Amino acid sequence: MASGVVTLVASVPASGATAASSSARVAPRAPSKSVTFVSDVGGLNDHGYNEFTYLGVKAGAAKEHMAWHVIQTQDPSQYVQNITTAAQQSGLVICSGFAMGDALKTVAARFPKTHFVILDYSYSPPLKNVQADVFDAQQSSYLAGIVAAGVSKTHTVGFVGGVDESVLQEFLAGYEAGALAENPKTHVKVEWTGSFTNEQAGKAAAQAEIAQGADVVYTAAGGSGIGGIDAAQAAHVFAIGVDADQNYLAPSTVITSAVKELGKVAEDNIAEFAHNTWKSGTTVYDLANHGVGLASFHGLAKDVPAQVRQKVAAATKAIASGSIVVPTTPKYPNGH
Amino acid sequence: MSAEAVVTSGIATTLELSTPIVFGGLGGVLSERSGVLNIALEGTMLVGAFGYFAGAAATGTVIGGIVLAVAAATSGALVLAWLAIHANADQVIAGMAVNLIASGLTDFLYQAIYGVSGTAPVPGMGPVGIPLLDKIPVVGPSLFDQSLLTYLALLAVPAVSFWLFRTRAGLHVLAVGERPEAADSAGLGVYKIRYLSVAASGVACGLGGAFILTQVSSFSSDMTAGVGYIALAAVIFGNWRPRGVLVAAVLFGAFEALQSILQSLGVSVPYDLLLAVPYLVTIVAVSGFVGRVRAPQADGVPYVRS
Repeated sequence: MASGVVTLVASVPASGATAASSSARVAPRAPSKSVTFVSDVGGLNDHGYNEFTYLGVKAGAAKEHMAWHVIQTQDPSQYVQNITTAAQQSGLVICSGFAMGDALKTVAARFPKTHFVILDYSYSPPLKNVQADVFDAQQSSYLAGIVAAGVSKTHTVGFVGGVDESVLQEFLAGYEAGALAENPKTHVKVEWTGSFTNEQAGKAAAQAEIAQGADVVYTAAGGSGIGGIDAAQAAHVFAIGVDADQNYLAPSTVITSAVKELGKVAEDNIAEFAHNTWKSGTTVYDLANHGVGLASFHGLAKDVPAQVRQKVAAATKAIASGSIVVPTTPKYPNGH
Repeated sequence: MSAEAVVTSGIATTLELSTPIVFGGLGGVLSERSGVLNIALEGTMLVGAFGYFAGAAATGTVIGGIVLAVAAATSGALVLAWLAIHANADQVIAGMAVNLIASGLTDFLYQAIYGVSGTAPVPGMGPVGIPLLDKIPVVGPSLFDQSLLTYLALLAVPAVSFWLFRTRAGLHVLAVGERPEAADSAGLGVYKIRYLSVAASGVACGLGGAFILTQVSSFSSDMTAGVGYIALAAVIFGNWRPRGVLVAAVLFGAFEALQSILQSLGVSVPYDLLLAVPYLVTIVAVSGFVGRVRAPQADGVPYVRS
């Protein structure tokens, strides 16, 4: 298995090699002035989390004329090994996702001079050489909940989550609060697929909710959620995408997406690293600093009543100013 | 919402989840009945799913997808066949190797061909109602409004069963899987029959992988997500018989659909535990509680002509 990963590593950044050679031409740098992105098991082509962080790494490195590498993880047991490999070759290592939290803690202690970034995970007390970038996903999920309840004709909306852990419960908490704020009579159906890759499980979960009347399904389950979008499309109901603008997956189904500006975060870290202003610590990305938000309604804008759009705008302001505090634990963890 | 809608959707979801298990399980039966232990079902189906994506993306048609799915999965199965039949490799290790190669290779090819952002979803296969039958309440929209591949899987079960136990060619496969020396001395080509059986298992896995992709229309990393291992459990639970595989597949599919329904009803269920049910019942099956389960005698044993 290890050799399989190394092959992938060696073969994927074919375009990274060009970036490296152009950097040599433009501004020669020490070999450690490079960035390595370590994906989680979802893989780069997850149409979400890893993909958009990766695109940000690529864009950020190109801007700073910095060499970049990517290591894809196939199995959770490889996290320590892959982060170690990354730390050996680059001065800045970006790790995607909370699943790598423990592994990074181990590796970061072994490489005190390397700068690490982790998304959606934080340490208390903070680690000296780690920048933890967390997203207030409950805030964007709150807006998604307003849209869902606002367009639902059955007053029943669905939620499909990946793994029932606190990071994902924030999505449910915000969604539920937003939906109930828009219409207190709304029922929220909750499903966990237990996976970020099993598309069939995501589809089955959404189908069960749709059978019980849900006419909007919010998927927060990585690749597994794509199956939920497909079920919504087949049943002619709406879906709400997650992490990235997923409208392109099903343009007449995905009414909006609760996005995290993953690419921006990666780019910011690379720019700071390049200009030696990088700092460790914890940074919160929220509605106020545009780190999270709702994607465009695209062609489905006509299906979102004007008053719902106004409520979204008003809630955005209220959350950003702090007059609405969105909960991070769901009121009804099993739906109601 | 009405209970009827929940039941209808539950049965339909059960069949959808069972279909790839039936295809993979039939593939496992064909291969193992000839004496080649096949734990590469997972990887072979993953290759099939990727093949469907590539074929459908290139031609824009469902047929193009299915043809490439079957071709790719059959090639994958032949790698296992060569390792098991000619290289006399340990068949457990050879099978795992195929699974791991499939996982890495499909990821690599996807990114090499389509880039990280991939392409737009490819044509899938929606449900096709059987005229008149699909009008029956509950049963109609759940059983008789399915993908063509689901009907094919259901028809393939009696067909493979008949072929394996009632035709000369099928009995040759059984002979090779039970007593290869005897079959050899009776003039049967042991190697040839095993190659063809494993290739047939590749065809079945290709259809199973294609089905998974037609349901979601886009490829993602390791998207078979363990269905191949559940199919392997179905082979054992089903006592290496096509009908047994069908029973196991429907049972496993029903458990997964049930846990979805329970969750959406707001019942707090330990969903991870329910998802482990296929493996738990398989352990019960092999420990002899539900009648005797017996593998073909030469399953997993390379045949070396003396």
